[in-house]
This record gives sequence, C-alpha cells and structure tokens, in this order.
Amino acid sequence: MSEQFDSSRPIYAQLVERLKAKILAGTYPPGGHLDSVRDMAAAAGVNPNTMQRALAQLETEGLVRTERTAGRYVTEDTMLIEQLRAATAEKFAEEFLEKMRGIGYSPAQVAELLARQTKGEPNHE
Amino acid sequence: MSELLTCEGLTKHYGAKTALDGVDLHIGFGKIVGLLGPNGSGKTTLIKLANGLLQPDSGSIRIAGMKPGVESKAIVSYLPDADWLPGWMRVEQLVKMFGDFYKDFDPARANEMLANLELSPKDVLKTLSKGNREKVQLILAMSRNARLYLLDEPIGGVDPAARDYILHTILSNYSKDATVLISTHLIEDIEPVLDEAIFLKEGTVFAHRSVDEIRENEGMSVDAYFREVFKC
Amino acid sequence: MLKNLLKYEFRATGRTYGGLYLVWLLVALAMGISMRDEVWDNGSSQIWAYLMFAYFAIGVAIGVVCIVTIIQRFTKNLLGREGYLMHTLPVHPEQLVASKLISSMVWVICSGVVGILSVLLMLVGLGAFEDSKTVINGETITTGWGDVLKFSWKEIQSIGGEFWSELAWIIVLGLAGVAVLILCIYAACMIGHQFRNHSTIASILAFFLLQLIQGKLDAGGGIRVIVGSVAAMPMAYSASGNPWLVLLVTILIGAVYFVLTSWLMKNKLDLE
Repeated sequence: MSEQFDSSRPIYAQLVERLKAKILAGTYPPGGHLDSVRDMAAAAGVNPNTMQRALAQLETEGLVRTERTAGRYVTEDTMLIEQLRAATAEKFAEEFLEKMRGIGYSPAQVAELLARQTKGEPNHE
Repeated sequence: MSELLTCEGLTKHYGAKTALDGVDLHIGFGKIVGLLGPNGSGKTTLIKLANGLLQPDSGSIRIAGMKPGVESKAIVSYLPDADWLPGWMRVEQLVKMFGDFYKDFDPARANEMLANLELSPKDVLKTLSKGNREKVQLILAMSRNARLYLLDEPIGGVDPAARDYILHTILSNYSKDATVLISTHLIEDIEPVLDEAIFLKEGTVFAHRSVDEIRENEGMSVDAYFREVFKC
Repeated sequence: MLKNLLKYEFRATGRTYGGLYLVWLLVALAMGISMRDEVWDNGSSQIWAYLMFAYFAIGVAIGVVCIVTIIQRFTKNLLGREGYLMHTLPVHPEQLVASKLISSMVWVICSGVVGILSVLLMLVGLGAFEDSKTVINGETITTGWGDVLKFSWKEIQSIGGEFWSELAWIIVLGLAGVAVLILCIYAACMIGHQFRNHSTIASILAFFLLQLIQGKLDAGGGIRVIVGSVAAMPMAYSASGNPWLVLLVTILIGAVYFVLTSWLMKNKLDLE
C-alpha cells in the first residue's frame, strides 16, 4: 500500500499524527483546501471512514474546518499552528534527549553535537 | 432500508458436512468489510448464498431487504474465486457483454483500468496468464456501480503491484451507498482499507468488529489477532 | 434481456456450426460434379466414393454436434463454472431456459435446411438443372436429370394442396416433438443436479424416467402411443387424424417440462 502503519495502534490515530505533521510542515498550508475524503483515503491507502474519523479529530482540535459546500480547509489560524508546532518540537526534543541520555550523552554534549551537525561539519572524534 | 446484507440463522449443509451454522450478520451501507477465516470456514458458501447460487437449508439471507433474485442481482457485483467467464471470448467482448447485461456497468472505467494494467482488449481470455485473467475479471466486477460488491479472494493470484492497484481501485470507487465485502486470508495487505472484520470459524461468526476497535482493544493488528484466534 | 441472452448464445454456439455447414455444402457440390457423365468416365468414381463418405460423415457429425451442444450448453454453461456468470446476471431462470431452447431449435432447423440445400447443391453440381440436348435420328430431344426433376415436380403439383398441408403438419409436429425432447433433457439435467455427487448418472436416469412417464400418458383420441417418442410424433398425427390435438398435447407436455426446469433453477440451484 501507499503507506505503512504500525500494526498495534489504530490506523486513524496514526493518520491524525501524519496529517498534523503535514500541516505543521506546511505541506498543507494554512487556509489550504484539502482533497475529498475519498481521494485522501485512496492516496493513503486507507478506508475512507477511517480517514473521515481522523479528519474529524483534527476538526475538534481546530486544525481543520469544514465548509458546507466547498469541502475541507486547513485552519488559517497560524497562531494555533505555531503553538502546536512549538509543542510538538518540544516533545520531540524531550524524546531525543531521553534517547541520548540512554547512550551516556550529557545535555551539553548533545548541544555541541547538534551545533556541529547543523554547521555541516563532520564529527572527527 | 438501513442494512445492505442481512443473514439470520443462515445454515447450509453439504451432505453430512455443515458449511454454515446459524450465521447472523448485519452489514450496513458505505462499508468495506473483510470476510476473514481459514479455508473451509464458510466464506465462499456465504458469498454464494448471497448470490443465489446456493440455497440455504434454513435461515434467511437478504440483500437490501430482498431475497436473492433478479432484483438483487442487478445491484450485486460478484467476483467468484475461480475462472467463471467464457474463455473463448476476447476481453473487449466481455466488456461489451457486461455492458449489455448490467445497467450500472461503466465501460469507460473498465477500459481505463485495462489500460492502466496494460491488458490488451483484443486478447482472448483463455490465452492470458492466470494473474492477468484474474485482473480482467476483477476489473469487470469493479467497473459496475453496484450497491454490494462481493469479492471472493480478489487478490490471491495477482502480483503485489497489481494488488496495490486493485486496493486503490476499491478505495477510489468508494461510495456511501455501496458496501464492499472482501473475502481473503491475506489480511495484512487489506487491513488498512477495512472498516470492519468478520471472522468466520467453522461456519459460525466468531467476531464481527471494527478494525480500529480490534487494534485498540487487543493491542495488535487484525492480522496478528487472526493468527491468534486461528492458532493451530 | 432474452434478446441479449440469445445474442451471446448464438455467438457461443455458432462457431462450431458455421464451419461444418460450409464444408458440408462444398462436399455436396463436389460430389455432384464428380457424378457428371463427362468426368465420371475419366475415373472420378474413386473421388466420388471419398466424397460420398465425407458427406455422410459430416452429416452425422452435425447431428452429433446438435445433440452434444444441446446438452453441454445447458450442463456446462448453466450448471458448471460459467453458471457463476449466467446465474448472477439480472435475468429470470425462464429467460435462461428459453434462450437455450430457442437457440437449440434454431440450430436443429438450420441443420435441416442446410441438409436440403446440400442435396440441391449436389443436383446443381450434377447439372440437373441444365437441359442436355441430344440429337437422335435428326430429332433434338431433351435428356438427363432435368427431365426427371420436372416430372417429379409435376407429380407433386398434381397431388396439390393436400400434399403440402400434410408435409407442413409433419414438419410442425416433428419440430414440436424435438422441442419437447430438448425440454425433457433440460428437466432431467435439473433433476440430476439435485444429486450433488452423482448428477450425471441421476440426469440420465431422470431422462429415461421422464420418457417412461411421458410414454404412459394417455391423452385420449389415440395419441397415447405417439407422444412417447419424438420420431413417432408425425405418426401420432396419422393415427389420431387430428393434428391440432397432437400439437396441443405436445405443447402441454413441453410446458410442464419448462415450468419444472425453471422452478428447479430458481429454487433448488446448488452450484458447487
């Protein structure tokens, strides 16, 4: 299929995460029009009702709104998207630090590593 | 009418062997449902009963409230698990024939799908490979705008690329008024497209649950759950 | 829908008959030519013998194809794998049975017509419609097959209307008898179909049982003997002297088979 899913969690929950990531990344820009549920489901290789459920979840979170005749749009509320992006980034950073701690890196070492990495310099250690 | 397929106490014997034993099923509109079970669990028997190819020994089966008959056949699109089309016919003749008999058949859709799967309309059916024959048969079944699609092992014999295309077709063909029932043992491949899963075990309904609900409550995929239920 | 069913039924069966008919007619023509005096003397008798054999062999083959097609188009197309298609088309069982019966009858009639045509072609080949003139003792006289035909034709015409009406009744009753036989085969197949693992033998037994019952029917008016077998159908006419009565009884028996077959197909179909 077009996308692979983690087998032990509900597919709709995984779809919510992926759709959110696309909104945060701007793949679905603020105020952008979304394809029909059927097309989105076909593109992702999932059941239309599952896609519908995922979109409904995004709607209750305010990230997507439905216009009666024109279909679905990504919210224009960039503040909300920014907030979510910041929160998600924070969560990822925490998870990353946790993993690095697991292999004995101190937060300072992690910061140094990241600084080097983002400059594009290879690690010579 | 809120149900598309209804079985009540549906029972079928083959001689001394019981194929289906008191099956109760209620399937609504706009669903993609997996009919899952090991060989001999009664999947094909159930589908044939819905098509009127077999008659129940007791109990009843109804399609949109109708007993299997001319009216129900006009809204049911059936894909059997074996070659069932006249082998001497050309693919284009089969397309014409389906158009002649089924008012809801869309030849343009059939031709588009044939082209996408690189099947030549001029080919004689019996000269095609088994996989290509199955593709043609599936294309014909999916080119109808039916209410109920009964697909018996539709993806068993085709290669993975064609399998993806077929599942994509089923999804892009989705309508709120139509339900697709897919019998298969290749659960992993079709799991993401399913709403509901029906588990048949020795002719009885072991479970009829939503796929997300199984994943949520069992903490495993439907495929893994299936392996557990039907552990040898 | 019956129109569509017939269209595909003829397409499925026509492939076999078309070729056989063509070859048969050509052989008949060649046979006629080989019998002409001028070639006969040049040693065509050997070829004639081969053609004669081929002509009868093809004739028998057409008969066999008729019988086999009648049975197979029912058992294979409706009760075999293709039945998955035929019984999921939105058509009534009555339409399925009717399409099989009609196409079978058309092929039986066609085979008969082609048989007559082959004889005519043979005569054409022989030059029977060409007058051959011979001069004997300074007098020109017409000889050859043409005279024989002309004479026979005059004889028939002198008998008049009665001959033609007799002939028409024999043809009509004969065809009605064939139709009833075909319907009897269908009914027997549907009865045999009820016996899942022994359907072939059950069908054969059912056929003879139905024929036996049919033979025992006493419709009165001296028709009893007749309806027993198809070949005897025209004889029934001469025995009873009332063709309408024979036709009526034949149609009634056919209707019983038709209804029985359709009913079983609707309510007792069990495709493996």
